Order: sequence, then structure tokens, then C-alpha cells
Amino acid sequence: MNWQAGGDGLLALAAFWVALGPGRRLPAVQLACLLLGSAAVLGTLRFSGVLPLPQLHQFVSLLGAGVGLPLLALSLGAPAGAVATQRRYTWIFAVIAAVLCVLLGVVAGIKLWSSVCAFASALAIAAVAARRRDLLALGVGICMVLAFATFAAQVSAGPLRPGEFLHIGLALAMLLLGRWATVRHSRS
Amino acid sequence: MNPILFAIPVFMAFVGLEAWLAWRRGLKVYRLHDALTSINIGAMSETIRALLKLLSVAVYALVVERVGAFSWDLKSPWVWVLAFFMYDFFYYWAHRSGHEVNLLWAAHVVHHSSEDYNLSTALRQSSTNQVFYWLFYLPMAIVGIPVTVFVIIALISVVYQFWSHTQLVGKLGWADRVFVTPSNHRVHHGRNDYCLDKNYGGTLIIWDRLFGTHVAERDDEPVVYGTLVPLQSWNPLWGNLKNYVNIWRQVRSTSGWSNKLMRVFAPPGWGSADAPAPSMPPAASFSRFDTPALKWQQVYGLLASAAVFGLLIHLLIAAPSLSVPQRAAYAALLVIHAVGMAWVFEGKSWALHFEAARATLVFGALAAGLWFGSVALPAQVAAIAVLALSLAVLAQARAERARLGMPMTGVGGVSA
Repeated sequence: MNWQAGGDGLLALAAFWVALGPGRRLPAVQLACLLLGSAAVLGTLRFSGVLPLPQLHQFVSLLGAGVGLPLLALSLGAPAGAVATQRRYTWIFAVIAAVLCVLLGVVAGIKLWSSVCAFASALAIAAVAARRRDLLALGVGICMVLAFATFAAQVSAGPLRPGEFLHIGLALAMLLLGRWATVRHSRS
Repeated sequence: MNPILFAIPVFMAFVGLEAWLAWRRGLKVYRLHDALTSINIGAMSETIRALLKLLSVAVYALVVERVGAFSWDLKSPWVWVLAFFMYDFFYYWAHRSGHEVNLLWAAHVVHHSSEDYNLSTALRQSSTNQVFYWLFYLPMAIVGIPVTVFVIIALISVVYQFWSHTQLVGKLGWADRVFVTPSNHRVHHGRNDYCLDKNYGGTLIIWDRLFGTHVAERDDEPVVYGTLVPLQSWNPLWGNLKNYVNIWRQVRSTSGWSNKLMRVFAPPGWGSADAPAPSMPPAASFSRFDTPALKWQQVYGLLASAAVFGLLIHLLIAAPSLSVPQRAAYAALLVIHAVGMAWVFEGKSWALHFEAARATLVFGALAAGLWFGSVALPAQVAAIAVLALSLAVLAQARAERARLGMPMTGVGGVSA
């Protein structure tokens, strides 16, 4: 197991914990975490050399960024909205976002699309949470913004490369998201 | 070669066979206006498909090339088995979305707009479905199912679904529990309460059983075919566009962006406290849409439909050698042809004059060799014959209406 596979494995564990645990009653959170977790599992398999499927890993990562993170932004930004609370609308949003990802990211080859979606989602989560003084959601947003910023700046430290910072940052965001979902559930 | 070219004569032969069998059994399952409208809507759909099909197949192929997770051997039976089940599974969800998402219902509704149920209904396919439906099959491309396998499996599914649109085949025992059979699919086309949003499957009914949308046909309650909000028209263009216009009107009259979005993406008939559901005609007021079926009008319908099919077959053959604007112009010509025929059926005041002018222009141009690509001599002769026949039949239709004291009107005459 190398650091890359380890970082992906950590993110996969955190994402699946939220999807199957505290986020299971929130359809958008659950689907987003399943997408991010699936991408991370493929990353673990790829970088550990167990089952390298690089194209599929990249594609599911694209969906994680272009579908999963906007879903999280909607869940944290409008937690009572139809997309966040009703499985039907979660899926409608996911299909539309996925089609945009395929058309822009794959067909048109606009690689920036997933990065824009991811960063915009993270900023939106942080901004809305700050306005509402929702500390847990703010933590999720800040973790994500920092993770994407360090990845974009290609920060390295010892054995940790930019990808590992991204995965560790997202894994932390997932843990805070799980806590946010638990608190939200206990309030409702 | 486009496989639809082979399917068209086979489908038409089966429509003829079913009509003959029904007539022999004394069953009234066909009305000429409705059947010809279904066939014309099908022709229009194929016309549009000639424009759009390459786009969806090209995107599918590109996704396979760039993302496809696995490489599959075309000779392996497993890829075909996997593709069959995957296609049918995604068909179920595409079709279900087509009924439960208002925007997609607008695309699919034309297939359900017939108030009869026979093999011609199978041909009544939407022109705009193809803009949305292929998106649902992209997961197959992600798994790497080759485009050849995808196209052939899709074709098998289309051919299979044709036979389920009949009232002449009853219940089929165990097959009704596994496959989409005529009995299962009759329920899907019903507007009875127990039929609504049921039996979405394409080839296998197991998905409906799995996801809780299956219901068996009831012997004690005959299925009444059609939609809750009837089309009330023979016009294939209006049939394809009516629900989009309705959605546009609903969105404009609704306040608040979230309510506007719900008008587009919620199930048809959605409403809330601050955005009331669109009004629905009371169930008791339902009567099957019909217009007087006069002899010469019907003869003209048959003649015009045959001409549409002749031109459609030429378009499908010639499409690869035509530019996109040429294809679009040809498609527009066929759509106008089908709309003109519908106006004749509906007794519109301008219909006979419009059709005479249109036939003169279209078949005159074809006879003069001014067409899309080169025109063979037999086609020129046929164009002259069709033009002469069209004008003669239209004159007879006009005389017939005058004789019966039925002047052409601005609105279609509707009778129960």
C-alpha cells in the first residue's frame, strides 16, 4: 500500500461511512458520498496495483467533482430543498449534472469543468454556511476549499504529494459532513 | 444501410395483417384516421432521427473510446447477454422517467396519444424522445459495451416492442410474468386509474416487478386507451409539441424559480399550495377523439401516407450523401406533408387548397428533377402520377364535402 492508495482508501472509508451511516436519510448527501467513495475505491485499486482501471477512475472522479460536490453544496446550502430531501429530484439533478459532465468533460474535452464545479461547490458551501453561522457546514466548506487550493498549488510535504492532501482534506470534510448530518437528523 | 429500411415494410405488412385479422374477427381496433396519424407520426420520427441519430451514436462511441472501462470481444456471448440486460434495465428507467418527469413526458406523450391500441400505435413514436433517451444508456458506454453491440441490442428491443401493441393476443400465462407481453403493455397504455404509471419495461417485465410498478391486466375492467389530457388532434406536429407548449405556459404563469423548476422536472400534473396543479378535464367528460371519415378524405389519406413513406425511404437511403441543411430541408418537407394530411382529416378550411398547392410544388419539383440528389426516370414518372392522383382525389374530397353539406371549417369537427 503506497501513500496514494492510502489517501484514496481513507477518503473511501470516510465517504462510505457517511453514505451508509449518518447521511443515509439524506438522499443527496448519500448519493454524493457514494460517488466520491466509488471514485476513491477505484483510486485505491488503481494506485495499489490490485485492479488498475485508470480511465474509469478518472471518469468516476469527474462525476464525483461534477455531480457529487454540487449535490453536497445543494444539501448543505438548501437542506430542506427538493433535491436534498427527495430521492426523485436528487436523481434528476444527478442525471442532468452527469450529462453535462459527459458532454463538457468527455466529449468537448473541457478538463477544467470538474475543477470549476468542485471549487465553486466548496466556496458555495463555505459562503452559505458562514452567512447562516452553521459551524459544521462551514468546516466542511473550509476543508474542501483548502484541499482544492493545496491541490491546485501542487503542495507537497515529505511523502505526501498534492493528491494526498486533496484526499485527506476531503476525508476530513466527510467526517464533518457526517457530524453535520447527525446533528441535523437529531434536530428534525 | 439503415436497418429501419428493412423494418418499415415488415412493420407495415404486420399492421395490414392485424387490421385484416381484426376485421375477420369483427373487432373494431382500427380507425383509418388514427392509424394513418400513427404511421405519419412514426414517419416524422424517423425523419428527425435521420438528422439526430448520428449525434447520439457518435457521442456513445466517443465515451466508449475515452472512458470505456473494459474491452469486450464481440464474439463472446457474454458481452451480448450483459448488453441485453443493461439495455433493458436502462430502458426501464428511461421510460419511467419519460412518464414521471414533466419535460420527458412532453417528449414521450405522443406515443400515448392514440385512443386506439393496435400495431400502428407502436409506430407512433416521438420525434423529440431521441434528444433525451440516449443519455440514459451512457453507463453502457462507460462499461465499454461496443457501439455495434449497443446499436444491435437497441434494434432488437425496438423490434420486440412492436408486437406488444396489439389487442388480438390475450394473456400468455408464465410469459406475462417474465416478458413485456401485449397484456402487460395494454395496461401501460391505459388511462384507467389502475393503469397509470405502470409496466414500463421494454422486453422484460421483471424490472417492474422489482421496482414495484407492475400490475396485471384486469379481466373485469377493460383498458381505456389514451392519456388523461387527450391530444384532440390528428396533427403529428402538434402531437409532438403540445406538452412543451403547455409546460412553457405553466412556467410563465408560475411565480418563484423553484416552482418554475418543479413545473419542468416534477411529475405531470404537479401542484403545490402556491402553484396549483394544472386543471384536468373531468373523467366523465372523456370521449374518443374523432372526426368525420369521408370516403375521398380517406383515399387521400392513404395516398398521402404512401407518398410520405416513399419520400421517407428515399431520405433514409440518401441521408448519408446529403449535407445537414439538405437533410433538415428534406425533413421539414416531410413534416409539412404530414401536417397537411392531418388538416385534411380535421376538415380545416384551408386544408384542400394547401394540399393542392403543396402537392403541386413538391411533386412538380420531383418530376422536374429538382430534388435532393439525382432523380431516376421512374421516380419522375411516379411523381407525375402521384401529383395527378392527389389533385383528382382532393377535388373529389371537396365535392364530397359540398354534397354532404359539410363545409370545411376553421376548427376540426369533433364527435364522440
